[in-house]
Amino acid sequence: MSRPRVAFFSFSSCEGCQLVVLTIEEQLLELVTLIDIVSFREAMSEKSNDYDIAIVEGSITRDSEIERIKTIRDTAKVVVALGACATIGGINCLKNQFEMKKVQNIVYGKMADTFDTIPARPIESVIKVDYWIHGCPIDRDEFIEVTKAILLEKKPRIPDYPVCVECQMKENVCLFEKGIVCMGPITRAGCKAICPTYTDGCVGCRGLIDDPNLSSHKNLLSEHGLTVKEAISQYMLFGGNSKEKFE
Amino acid sequence: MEKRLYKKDFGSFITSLQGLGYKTVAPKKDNNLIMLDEIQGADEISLDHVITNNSIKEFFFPKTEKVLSYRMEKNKVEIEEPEGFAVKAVIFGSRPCDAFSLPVMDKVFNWDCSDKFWVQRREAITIVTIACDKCDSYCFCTSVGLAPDAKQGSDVLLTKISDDEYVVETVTEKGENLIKGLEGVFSDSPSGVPDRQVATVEKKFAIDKVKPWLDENFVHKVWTEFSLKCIGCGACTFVCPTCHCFDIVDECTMTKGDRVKNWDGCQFKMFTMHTSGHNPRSTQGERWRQRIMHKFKYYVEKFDSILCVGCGRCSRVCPADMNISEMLEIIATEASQPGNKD
Repeated sequence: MSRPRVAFFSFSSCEGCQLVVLTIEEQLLELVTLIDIVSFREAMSEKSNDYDIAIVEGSITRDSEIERIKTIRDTAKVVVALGACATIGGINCLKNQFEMKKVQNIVYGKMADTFDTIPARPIESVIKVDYWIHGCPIDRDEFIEVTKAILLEKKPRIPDYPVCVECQMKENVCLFEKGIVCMGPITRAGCKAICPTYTDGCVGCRGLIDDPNLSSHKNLLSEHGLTVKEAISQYMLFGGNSKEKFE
Repeated sequence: MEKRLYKKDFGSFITSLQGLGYKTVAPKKDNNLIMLDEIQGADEISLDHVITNNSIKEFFFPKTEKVLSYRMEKNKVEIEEPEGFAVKAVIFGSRPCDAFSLPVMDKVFNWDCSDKFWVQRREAITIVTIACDKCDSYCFCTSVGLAPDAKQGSDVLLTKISDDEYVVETVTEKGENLIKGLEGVFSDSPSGVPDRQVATVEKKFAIDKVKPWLDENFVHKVWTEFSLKCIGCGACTFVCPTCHCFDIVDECTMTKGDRVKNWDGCQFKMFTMHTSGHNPRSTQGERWRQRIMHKFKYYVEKFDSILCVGCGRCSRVCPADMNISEMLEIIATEASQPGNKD
């Protein structure tokens, strides 16, 4: 693809992943010599409806967003899901545990009827996605890895092994030894095990690996005096869209 | 003549080595871990442990290293090879199992091609091992034909004879030259036979039963059963002193890049994933079988060595508590009960 036109889009999200993109600084300068950024509301006022690559942050939480994302798919040659909200549904899926009516009332009060809402979902459940950049927030190096792969027309190297691998690479002591609930054994690596490195249990923001060993993870939890219930509630922070995998 | 090294002389040992231009590596406390790592002075050395958390292999075969850089311009490719990767060093206080892993790995790194990174580092690094005066329930060196005071792979072997005294044995010419170059650090032995403090490591299985059983049981329920717990984290392969699989990737832009060699592991699903999407080892049971087969059958057939030194690190580090010596005990037991196949 010669000098593609790139547009960033925001759906239901905090736009934090787009801010991460802006912090890539020196590599970003090199990157913009290879692409034209035509829409990026975190960084510029100009907009365009003519683009080759759509980088989409956020999940789908309203009917109107379904139409909007379909239009983006029809226009773009390549669609990239950016960040946990877009790749797995993310934190927005917390609301899926409740009745939509109740959620509307809690959030909008008297104005509840003015705003429609539907259970939150990743963009993949509405349109075909070509590339995924996981995490909350995304990892800078992975953003570069994926954009480079698109430009070189190669397959990006996205890990399909658990976070434990990166913990081992960092020579971290396993958090289970410290009695901390960790979703690392079933969560896709690529974050460089940043949370466990700072002794916070993994919450699974990058989603499950393709074939997680859930039963072994359950055993690990119980061997260390932790419960599956604790683990599920930790996982629900980001993984509300795939709760059924635990049942 | 046999020499002695007193604990009080560790300081002059290390500073003399540094004076001779050696980088010094020794077991060192790092929060809750004991790591083989570069030290500046003898006060950093820690010797109360059974075994270091990391193995010796990363000093010869690092987790990640650049094998070349390239730059492309029109029809021209410029290649730049790295230099200065083999630094003269002494690894002090490694264990006999770790030291033995080196001659075992020499075979594969000098096989169809000679891996210059490994070979040059092997030449540059001298190994001063300390025999084990204690062990834990994970140790099984005696089951794979080694011993807590084995000499193979070491250049010098120290054996504790009291809290502050070690017997010094030179094993290789390299070791002898090292000792000769360190006047005044080592003391002459007093007369009498010293009482060597060497751990007693329990023998857990009969190794001679293992390979014949593996020859016959590529298909067996035990592979799946034993690996049900495995989460595929590959920790066992990273801490193993004899696991040596790596992956080569280009970290590049359109016109330039580095070709990088990274540790890889057979316990990962992606390890054998084909471009087509087909995976010849699609289950964890098959991956676990590969690990055992490679160590106790394929390597033996190809290089006449077991690819395991019984350090037990894989079992200590496994988050799911899989224990390789338990697996080998099961195999040895199965081997004693013929006809008990699936």
